[in-house]
Amino acid sequence: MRKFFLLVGALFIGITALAQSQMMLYQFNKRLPQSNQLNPSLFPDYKVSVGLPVLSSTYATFNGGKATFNNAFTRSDDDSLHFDPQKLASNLDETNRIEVNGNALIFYLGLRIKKNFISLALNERVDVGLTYPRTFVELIGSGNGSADGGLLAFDNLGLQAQAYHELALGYGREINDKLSIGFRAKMLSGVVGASVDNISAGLLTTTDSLYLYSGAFNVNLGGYDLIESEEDIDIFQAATAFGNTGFAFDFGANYDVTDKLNVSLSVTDLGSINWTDNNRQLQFSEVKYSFNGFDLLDVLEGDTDSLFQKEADALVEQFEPDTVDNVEFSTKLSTKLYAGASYQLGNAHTFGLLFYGDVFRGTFNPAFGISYNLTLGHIWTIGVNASYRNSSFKNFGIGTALKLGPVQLYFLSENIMAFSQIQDASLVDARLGMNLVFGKMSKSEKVKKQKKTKEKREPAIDMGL
Amino acid sequence: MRQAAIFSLLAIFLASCIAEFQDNLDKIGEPYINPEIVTPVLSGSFTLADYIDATSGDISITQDDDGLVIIEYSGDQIESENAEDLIQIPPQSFSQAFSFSNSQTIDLPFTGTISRSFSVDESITVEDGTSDVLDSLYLKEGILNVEVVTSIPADGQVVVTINTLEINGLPITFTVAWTYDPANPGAQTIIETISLIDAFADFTKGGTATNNFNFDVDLSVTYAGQPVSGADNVVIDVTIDDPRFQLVYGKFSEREFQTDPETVSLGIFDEVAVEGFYLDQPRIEFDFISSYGVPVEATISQLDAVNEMGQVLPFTGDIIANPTEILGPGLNEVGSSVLTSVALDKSNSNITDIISFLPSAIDYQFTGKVLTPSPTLTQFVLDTSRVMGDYRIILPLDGSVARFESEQSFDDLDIGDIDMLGETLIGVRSVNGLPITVGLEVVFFDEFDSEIITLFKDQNALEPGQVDGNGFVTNPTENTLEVTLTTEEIKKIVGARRAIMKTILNTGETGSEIVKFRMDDEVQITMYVRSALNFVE
Repeated sequence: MRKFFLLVGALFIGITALAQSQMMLYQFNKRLPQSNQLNPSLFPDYKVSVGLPVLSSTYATFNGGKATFNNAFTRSDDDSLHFDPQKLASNLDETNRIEVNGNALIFYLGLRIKKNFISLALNERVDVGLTYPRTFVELIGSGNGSADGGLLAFDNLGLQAQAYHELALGYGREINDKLSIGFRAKMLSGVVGASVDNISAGLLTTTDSLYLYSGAFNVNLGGYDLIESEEDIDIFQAATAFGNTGFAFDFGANYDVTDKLNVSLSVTDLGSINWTDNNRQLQFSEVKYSFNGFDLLDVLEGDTDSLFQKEADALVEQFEPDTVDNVEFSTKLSTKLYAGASYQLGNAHTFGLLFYGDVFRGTFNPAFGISYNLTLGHIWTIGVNASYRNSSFKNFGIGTALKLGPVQLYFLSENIMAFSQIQDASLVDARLGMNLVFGKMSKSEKVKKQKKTKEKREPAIDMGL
Repeated sequence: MRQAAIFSLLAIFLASCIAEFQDNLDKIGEPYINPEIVTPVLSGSFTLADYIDATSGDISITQDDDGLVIIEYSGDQIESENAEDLIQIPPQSFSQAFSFSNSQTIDLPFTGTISRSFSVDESITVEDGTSDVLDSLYLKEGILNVEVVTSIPADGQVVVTINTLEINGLPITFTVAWTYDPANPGAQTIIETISLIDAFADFTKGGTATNNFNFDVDLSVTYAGQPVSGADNVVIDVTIDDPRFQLVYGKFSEREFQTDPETVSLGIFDEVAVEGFYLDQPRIEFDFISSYGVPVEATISQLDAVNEMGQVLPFTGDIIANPTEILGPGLNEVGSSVLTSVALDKSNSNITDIISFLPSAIDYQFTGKVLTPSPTLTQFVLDTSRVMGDYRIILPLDGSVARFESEQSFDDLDIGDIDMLGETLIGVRSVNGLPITVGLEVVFFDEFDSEIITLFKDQNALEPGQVDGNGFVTNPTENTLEVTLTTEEIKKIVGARRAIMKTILNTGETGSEIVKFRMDDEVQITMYVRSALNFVE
């Protein structure tokens, strides 16, 4: 069990991530090779891009939605802080989710060969997503008193967590001077995973009875040996074994509307993992439990201690799962959509708009952002963005990339306010890394391309900027 | 340089932000979790019979044809001695000498053999102090010893036939023979021993006598060269040792017996106080079962009610003063038993006063007497014959109760860690089909046994059902009782060291109404709490 907790802990801590929206990275566009992972039609400005293990890209994100520190804690008169589930519940949506994602880029190679771009990447990924209803927090904070005579429904309680290897091979091509497209195929191999169906449950409260129901649901565990085994096992070997395979695909397109205006679109992580090795399924049956109080005559006969114990045992027994091994299941990746537009003002200034959305267990989570990038002499790029996500406009991202010879250093965060006002932050993330880039596309190549574009466009569009 | 300055400022800014957050983390205290919990605590429906069954032990609940609840107590069965301990058959012993006449002895040398027959009638011995007349009996134990001592100087034999005793339908008979030995001319002794198991004894000599023991002796001798005179004889001793009867017929003298004193506890009145308690139809039923073929007279030598304070109130009335005849089976009903029932009610005793006295126990003892109703009437007694008595205290719940208070004490109270309870509402919702008002008080005491707080004081948990003219409930009454305890009151309760739960019952609303409880009269109760939990002060 120790290993189980270690692994669950690792899943939640998640040293790196890619599943969360990375608007800042997307808007760095071709200036950073990692942008290609969000849209395979965004080719880096370099002929050769190399990512070294771990150094290349380390990313971690925690998205608590509206479960922020300030939403969950109350400051008392003596300046002490207290977890206040009632306050938290009042700030939550009907259904909420908490996500922890991580991504460690083990190796990356991108090659720009004339109009083609080929990439190869090996990632270690961790995605954890928990959905929970507000009523669950309400019950903790407010009890069932407010629901007297009514129902507290705990629907949409679910969990999906998975750690897996991702080997990605991408190909992109400039179809013409304006349009580029890209495609990436990813072979996935699950290491450890857990999937809990959306649980439908509820508590009906009256002064006559407490009625607790829960629909039947299954908890699927993959890579169970890694979790359960009491024997010392070679975690590295287990983690690098290629079982529990799956496939996923990324698609992208990039279009230069003018030599200044660019639009792009991508869909990533369309795929799933089939868990076939070392699986265990915990099958929870439907529960219909009602408590009408202890039987009066039993109480009159005495020995109330045993009555409590019997009632507790009866309740626990209903939640005892049946365990079935080797039941195959699959977990879908959280599919993401990026739709962006950027406008370049001169060589140094770029303004961008980006729409983002992802689908997690059937719920769509949108975000929208605007950005500004300043590029100083092809060496240093600084970017800022502001986005609306988690029903909040208070997400301000920054990013910077500094190229020193073939070494490109970068740091990005979607919500820098998280570091200054972490109490209000629902999204905390950071990406940093170092790339080796070679063969900057020459100015003549870019000018030639721009000239061709102008020649084909009659009359030229002047944005007046 | 400018870049380094920017990075430095940024680093300082971030460090200060993180420090502030760290400071906040250090300020985190206990969580504010103050849920309001609503839950049923107790529920159930029960009849009065269910309640009594759950709270009292040795009580049975029945009902009459109208469904009226009847509480019934019964105690240990009382028993008389077995008849074989009451009626004794003493050992018997008879002795007779038999000889020939002088003329027979003179002729002996010529005739060679002479014979003579005798018929002997003896009176049996009866138990000391009695004038029992025994007609017959069947023995289950006993030994018949016959000792023949001959001093006749001749060879001879004697045939003894015990007409009174039969085995397998035939009188006991046996022959004793001897040979005279001139070298040893003294008396010869011959002993016969016969088991009397399953023997039958008829002491009437075929209906012609009483207490008679009859046997025949046929004596014959053969000349052996010595002169025989009329003084030479044979002495025969007949004894019956350790006779024990299975069944005896006869006419028996009076004998007395006494049962052990007994006590029956009435738990229903334990630890109660009452201003008025009246039952209209209480009674005590005695069932005597006798297998004596003899009438027996029973007298209640003691019947006292004792209340919880140790006060005694004796039963009075005709049935106490006068003995009761307990009938037994007739002559043709050997082995069976006859039931004699006696009821003690308000017509022949002060039982209603006794019940109002709230007895916690009733002490009683009986004496019995085996009667001789007629000196000419033959009776029987089995060895196992005895009188057994069962009794039942029967309390039909038809009456009135005024402020019938019972208490249950909870000493060394340790309510435990319920400091988190804030204001708490305790509710009792009831549908009362019983014709009683139920009040409930819970009193808490501190370590000095001073009253801290009383809950539900002067409030009725149950209002009585509506009754008809006969006192039966026709419509149950719904009632909701809610009490809100403040945080301060709960703190007081937490500190309590003792509690008493008082239940106060009144028939009707005032306790003066005479009502009847039906078996299916039911109370439905739901007890619930609504409590604000404070996990932080």
